[in-house]
Amino acid sequence: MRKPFVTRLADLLHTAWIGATGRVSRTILASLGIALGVAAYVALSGIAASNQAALLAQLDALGANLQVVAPGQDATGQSVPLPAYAPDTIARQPDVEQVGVFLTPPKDAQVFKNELVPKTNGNALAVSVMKPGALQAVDATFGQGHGINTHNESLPVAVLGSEAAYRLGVNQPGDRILIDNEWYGVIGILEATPQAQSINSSVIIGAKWAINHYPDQKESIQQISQIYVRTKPGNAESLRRIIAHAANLSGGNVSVAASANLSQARNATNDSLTTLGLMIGAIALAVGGMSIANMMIVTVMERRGEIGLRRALGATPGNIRMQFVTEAALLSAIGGLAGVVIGAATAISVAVNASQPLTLDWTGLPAAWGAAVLVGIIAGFYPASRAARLTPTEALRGE
Amino acid sequence: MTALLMLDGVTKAFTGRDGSPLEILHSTTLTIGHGERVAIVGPSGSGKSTLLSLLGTLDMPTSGTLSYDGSDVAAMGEKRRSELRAARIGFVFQQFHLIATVSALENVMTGLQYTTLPRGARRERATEALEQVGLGERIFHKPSQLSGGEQQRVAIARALVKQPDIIFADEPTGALDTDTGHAIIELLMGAADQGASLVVVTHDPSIAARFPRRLHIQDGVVTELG
Repeated sequence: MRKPFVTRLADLLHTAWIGATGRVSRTILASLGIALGVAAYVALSGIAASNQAALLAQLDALGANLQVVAPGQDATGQSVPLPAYAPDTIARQPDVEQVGVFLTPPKDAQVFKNELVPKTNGNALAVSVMKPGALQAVDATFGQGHGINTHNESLPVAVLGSEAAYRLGVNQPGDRILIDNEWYGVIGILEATPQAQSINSSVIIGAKWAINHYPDQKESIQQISQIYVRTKPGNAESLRRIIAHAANLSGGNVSVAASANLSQARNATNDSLTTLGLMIGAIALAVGGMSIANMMIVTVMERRGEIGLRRALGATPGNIRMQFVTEAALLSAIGGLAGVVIGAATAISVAVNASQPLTLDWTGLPAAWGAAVLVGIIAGFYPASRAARLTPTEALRGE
Repeated sequence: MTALLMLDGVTKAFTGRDGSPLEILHSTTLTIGHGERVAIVGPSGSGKSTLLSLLGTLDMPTSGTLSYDGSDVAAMGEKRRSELRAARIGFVFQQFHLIATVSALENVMTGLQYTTLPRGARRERATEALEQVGLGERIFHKPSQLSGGEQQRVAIARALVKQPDIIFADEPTGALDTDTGHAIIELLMGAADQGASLVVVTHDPSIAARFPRRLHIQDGVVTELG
């Protein structure tokens, strides 16, 4: 007849508990190594995660919440124009804060400082056509001058991106530049815009003027080339779907992309700190495991009398082995639990002190604890086998 | 009286320091019946404890056969021998061998740990056994809070709790003063009155004199003193 499983388990845990906690100071010392190992891992990975969250917040401020809507392509690779209502429907979405519309620039427009510059020195500058208010959406700030608004959008005026101004040698509003043999007055020069790099090398003109000035290209200029959409910070993926749907209600293809791909940067950062935590944790766990093994060997020698007694009372070698393995596992379980608490507390206090958002991998905590218990089982195996190998008479003589 | 334990030509040898076998117990043949009370006497180093270990199935003979209730103990295998000890054999040692960190009750419950009894039943029977040895008031005391005689009573309760066929006591009074020692023997005798056989190793002639059957052992040779 075999003992019922529950009774066996209760006996095992009870006996291991008695053995492991019989000498409190020794229990603490033996499980300290495991506690430190787990704490190191939990704390370092928690700190790394908090750093990462703080960095992410910074990246969001730099434009992770700026999306660019552009015409998509149909199945044959043809461009699908954005409908004229797209800016309005996008602007109505609850998470959308600002919308900036750029139209298709005139074909082959070339920009020069004046008529003396050879036509081959185009400076690789792009002409952009904007509707009033578009620059606010990309968070562009004026170094000098002001932008294109409803009062001047039908005049030959231009706003220069920071790089465009440098290449053209224009350093103050009031200068003139030449676009397709037409003089334009520079009314504003932008600071560098980190969120929309293409603006920096652009010469921006008003939509109304462009449409009137290029009557032969009127149709094409009226097509929207890009809509910059500033959203509330949040789940970029679901926002993109919402925006795409709003941009073309009839379901035509639309391209929606983050203006700068910062998500990769975010993933790359701080992986190294997590790895460091994992390595320190692993080393400390190994050392902790050895200290438990060490203590268990001493325990087995000291408790030969008890081993002999238990054999006399009917314990099999297997019972004795399980008892000591469980005892070792229990020691490291206690240590692991302490380590998780210490590590989490450290990570939390560091995050609070650095005013970082707290990001602890809660699901990783049971895993760290489980690793500690596993180390205990491995560490306990050799001493437990030694205990199991003792014959009852040897063991009883031992004390 | 039917035989509970039977030794037939049993010897026990250990390997000496020079590697040659050293026979501690020479060929011994004897039987112990159900409910029999036996004292084993002899000087130190004569092989008393070795004989007791063999009888208690804690050690295996080098040659000869040991049968328990008619079955060959050597043929049983480690697991069945453990089950036999767990259910039917009680031990009392000179050094008590109590677990220092737990209560008297827990210590007595250990006597049933390797049986199939559930924990609740073990607790009940352990409490009864402690009452039987006169420690009903001290079941939650730890060994360090008990006197030597009381500790040995706990050990006896641990042996009695499984209602064994046979109790082996190896110098149970060796660590106690004379009066306490006699009280302990009294207790063991009382337990044997309930049907268990009792085998006590002692070097105290006054204790041996109280047993109807005495075995003398010297230099590994067992003789009946009648």
